[in-house]
Amino acid sequence: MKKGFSGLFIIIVVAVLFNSCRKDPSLPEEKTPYSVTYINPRSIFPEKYGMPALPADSHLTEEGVYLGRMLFYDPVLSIDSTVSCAGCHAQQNAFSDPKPYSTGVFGLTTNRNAQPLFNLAYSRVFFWDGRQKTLRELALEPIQAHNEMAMTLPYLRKRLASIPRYRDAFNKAFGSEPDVFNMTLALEQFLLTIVSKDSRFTQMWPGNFNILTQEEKTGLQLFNVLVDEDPVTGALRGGADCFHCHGSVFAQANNPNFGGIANNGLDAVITDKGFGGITGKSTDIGTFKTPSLLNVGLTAPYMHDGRFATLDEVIDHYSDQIKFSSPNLNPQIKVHGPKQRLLTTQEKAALKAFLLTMTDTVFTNNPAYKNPFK
Amino acid sequence: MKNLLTATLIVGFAFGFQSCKKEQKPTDEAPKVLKGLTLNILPTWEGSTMVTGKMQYSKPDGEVLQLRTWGMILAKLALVKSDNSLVMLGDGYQWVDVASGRLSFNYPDVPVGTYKGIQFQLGPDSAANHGDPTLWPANHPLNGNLTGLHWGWAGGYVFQAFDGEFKDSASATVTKGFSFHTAGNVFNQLFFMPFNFELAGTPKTAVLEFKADEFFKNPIELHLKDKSVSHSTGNDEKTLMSKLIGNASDAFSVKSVN
Repeated sequence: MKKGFSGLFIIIVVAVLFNSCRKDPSLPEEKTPYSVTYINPRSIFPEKYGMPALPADSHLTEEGVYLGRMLFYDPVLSIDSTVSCAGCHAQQNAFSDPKPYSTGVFGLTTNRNAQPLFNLAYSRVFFWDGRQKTLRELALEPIQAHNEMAMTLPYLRKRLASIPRYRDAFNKAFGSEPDVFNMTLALEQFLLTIVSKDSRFTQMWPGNFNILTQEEKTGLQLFNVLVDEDPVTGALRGGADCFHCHGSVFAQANNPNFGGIANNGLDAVITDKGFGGITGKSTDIGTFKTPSLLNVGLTAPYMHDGRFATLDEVIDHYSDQIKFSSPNLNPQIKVHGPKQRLLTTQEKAALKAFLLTMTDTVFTNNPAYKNPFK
Repeated sequence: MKNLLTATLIVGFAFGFQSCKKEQKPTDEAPKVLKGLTLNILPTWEGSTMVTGKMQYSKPDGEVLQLRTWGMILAKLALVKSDNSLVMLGDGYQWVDVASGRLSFNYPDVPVGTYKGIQFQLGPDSAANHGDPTLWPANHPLNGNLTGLHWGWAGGYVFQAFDGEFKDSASATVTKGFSFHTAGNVFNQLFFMPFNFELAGTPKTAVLEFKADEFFKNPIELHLKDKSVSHSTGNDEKTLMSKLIGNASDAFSVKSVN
């Protein structure tokens, strides 16, 4: 009896001591009303791109990305249910619009060309005029723009809440009824996962030149070499110096203050202020976000106003038609003024061949980005 | 039996309380006394604050320029103690970007002591210079996508980008571009800025003056109308860059530590 009592006493003491380490039982248990499947960013972003700075307050989840994809393709986001994000950002065109200006609700058109959507996790400003700094803010603009989707956010919330598939999808992704804030997070998540990484250009990086043809190598050389001046004739020669604004594995400068936002000499007289219209600074007038050249073969027409229908026209511009009197012309271009580079026909063809190595059809056919309703 | 019970209780108590304790790291050394130091970079032209986008900076030869970009990758950024030993600030790397106002850097943990100056190297050493810029975290000064100060697989980092426009004279109407991109290991030079100061008591702020006008004079006066471009490649451009960086020996100084 004594032995039994002692043993029981020891067990009770040890049990009490261990129990004392537990949380206060009067506190409510943490509830997890929904469960999500987190996505490892390393499965999205390739090693050669490095890890981007992702939003700290919104982790990528299978449910969030899928909801974002549904929203991206669903015309219910527009006031008359006719226009979706995908209507102006088509996957086969690297999520750009083949028209210079996109058509929104009621046949209204946009003021600028729709930019392609990929590798946005590595960008720091968005839209041609760099007016937004996060994808969640970006997402709200076309939804509310009168000439795009013309939706009001309170009405959109009500509409989404009335659709069972969205009640279900929001609950799975966020454990909530449909609401505008979580809608922007879902769209942001989907946009972040859109990555183009399988072009021959990307495979070549950083120096696997053997996969290029001789003509493409010549184009690569032109792309990455500085413009030089012939000491005898004074004519410009050497490279075409594309890399200052379109360097790196992204074929894009992402520092807005160093090539990421620039004036490339399209017009002597500025009619669209671009970034200057946002900052109000005279030194920003006529400058626009530098686009990535990845998939450039799929994203015609080109420039903020879609003025160039073909890549040949783009190359002609940089070779022969720079407006050196354009205010705030990028210094890298201006240093050679007023001389034009004047590429030869062969050089232009080589440059175009190299640019076409940036086409990524794995990306444009990736089922993860396709319309989930089909 | 009584002894056994007592021993069990003691072990039980000890074990129970031990399991509630937080894990503590071993303390091998006495904790250092630390103070905060903020470095403020002050870009200047002839002693006045220099800003981007103003065509107002006159050179001795009459040329007038405006700045559009002034970015720098600093390495080995460190305080120099009176015994010549170094206290590295962070990991020693920093990215200065005048156009975006990235000019202030806070280091909360700097040992108290007596210092005789601050140093930095313009650009990283060869290994980092030709390493993979995507391996650095997204917000690190050596992440090429963050700064744009990287030339792809062949060229390594741009240690300093100094770009803008200039006119031949104040009355000239035509503007031209200038662009000086410092790169290549021959130019990743160390700059020491002497200044005696103590770190003790309250956190301090050091103001570092970066004098752009010094690039163009003393000992060699540079005229932009003669040549206004150097990317540190090719003989002509390397010669021009060596003059520019040679002039920079007086371009960086500690203005105050308070």
